[in-house]
Amino acid sequence: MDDKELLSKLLIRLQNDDMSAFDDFYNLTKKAVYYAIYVVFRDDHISQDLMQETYIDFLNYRHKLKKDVDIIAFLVTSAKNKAINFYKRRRHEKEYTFKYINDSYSNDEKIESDLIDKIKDILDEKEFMVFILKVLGDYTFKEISLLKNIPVGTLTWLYSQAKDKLQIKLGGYQ
Amino acid sequence: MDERKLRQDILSSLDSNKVENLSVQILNTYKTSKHEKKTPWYKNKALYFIGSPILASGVALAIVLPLTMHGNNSNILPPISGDYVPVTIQGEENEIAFSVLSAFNIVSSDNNKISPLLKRRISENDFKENITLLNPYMSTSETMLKNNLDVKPTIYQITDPASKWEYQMSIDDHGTIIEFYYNQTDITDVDEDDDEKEYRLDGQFIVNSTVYHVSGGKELEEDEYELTLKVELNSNSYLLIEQEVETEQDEHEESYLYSLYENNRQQFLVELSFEQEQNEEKVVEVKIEQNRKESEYCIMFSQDPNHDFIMSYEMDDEEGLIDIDVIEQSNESYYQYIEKNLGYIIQLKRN
Repeated sequence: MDDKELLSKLLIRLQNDDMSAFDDFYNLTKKAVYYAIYVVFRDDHISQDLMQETYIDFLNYRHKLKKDVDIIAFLVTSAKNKAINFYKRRRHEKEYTFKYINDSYSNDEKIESDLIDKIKDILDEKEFMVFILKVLGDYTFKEISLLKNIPVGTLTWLYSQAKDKLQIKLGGYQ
Repeated sequence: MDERKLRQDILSSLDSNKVENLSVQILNTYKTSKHEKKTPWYKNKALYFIGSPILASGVALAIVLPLTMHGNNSNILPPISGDYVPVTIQGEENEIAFSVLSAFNIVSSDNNKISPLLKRRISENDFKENITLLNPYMSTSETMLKNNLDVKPTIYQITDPASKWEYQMSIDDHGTIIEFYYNQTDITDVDEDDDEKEYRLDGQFIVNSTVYHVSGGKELEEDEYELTLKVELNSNSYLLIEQEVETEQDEHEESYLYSLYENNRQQFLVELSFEQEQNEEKVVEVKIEQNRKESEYCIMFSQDPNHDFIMSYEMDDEEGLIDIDVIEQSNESYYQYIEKNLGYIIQLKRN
């Protein structure tokens, strides 16, 4: 049984109020949810808080979900919206700062693997930032522009560059 | 590039152990919250779970009430010999010329018909329909990017007292001469203390032997300029063009709003805008609204030597990138749009 089928079965169990399914459900989905938030703030505490909110909202809403829903996409979108709303709420608060939001991705141990390191070698810092926000969070250019204060046009170009470079240098994704 | 596969592989490659196991904590919090007082209906968080990003419907800008039109199609061309006095161009005549030129492009376009209602998901067909809707504005966008807003019209004052029009503006659009005849009336409120000036405009231009009546007005202030033109397409429909230009120290902003009305109901709306800041890439943004659906595009010069422009799009909840090339074929010029991820291609005439 692949992960998608397993998730569907776990969702049915949760919808039937079998909460013992939640642990497996969480472990199958946590990376997608966590990183959709982490790639923005680069802060473990914020990411964990918002991740928890995402799951609690999911649990509150689970009975309304259709059985064939793309659960990962649903959760990632929810996590992403929480990240954006959180950013919008906090950015106007004088005493609040997003400490790590502009940290370099190249030294980030949380966003690290052989594949990611390969991608980091191919792309420059800004290209990587746009690419990873699009890939892990499915953020639109407008949303990235809001979060990173970079014009949409620049983001368009950076992402286009990133895709072209990866297409040439990263085999197996044609 | 198979982005989905790459996304899955990236996610799989990340170490699960770097994400805290919070399942017990989450479950406890959830169970605790269930025992608390039920939240009022207006705080229903289910509203957050609409899934895809919500596209807000564009809100049309306030529409300038249509001015009384001058009537008929007769006596189109004033006399051409001996009665024309060249007029020195002030700054804003370029703006009028640009608006007239873009109106000309729109009304003479083969693609200015209203497309049928678009489906929800972006198929190749939907993609082509969206791009077909965008194409008439690509020429204007290109002009904006190339800083060719300075269209350098030639203006003459018509001194023949029998002429209906006081001015003739000639605009050279790549060899096609557009002649715009108009009157300009100063309606500035002299009692106002500020430096704002206001003018009423009435005129006409000709496309393929058809006369289009134009009316509108312009307002000038220190750093700002606003122009409104209403172009009557026929007895039931008109095109409304609203232009704003603002220049500050290191920043220049321009926006153009084109709305088509049929039987006094708005059928579609297009907004083109660009902002130029020092040391920033110039980007033209285009928003199209029709039947409560909105699509948005950002167009800029491509740094890829194989393509002329690159454009990001957001249509029907889908986002992507398009390479745009200018192609010359059999003495005609075309835009070729290539969707980078999906591979869709469409070629449309370049006005």
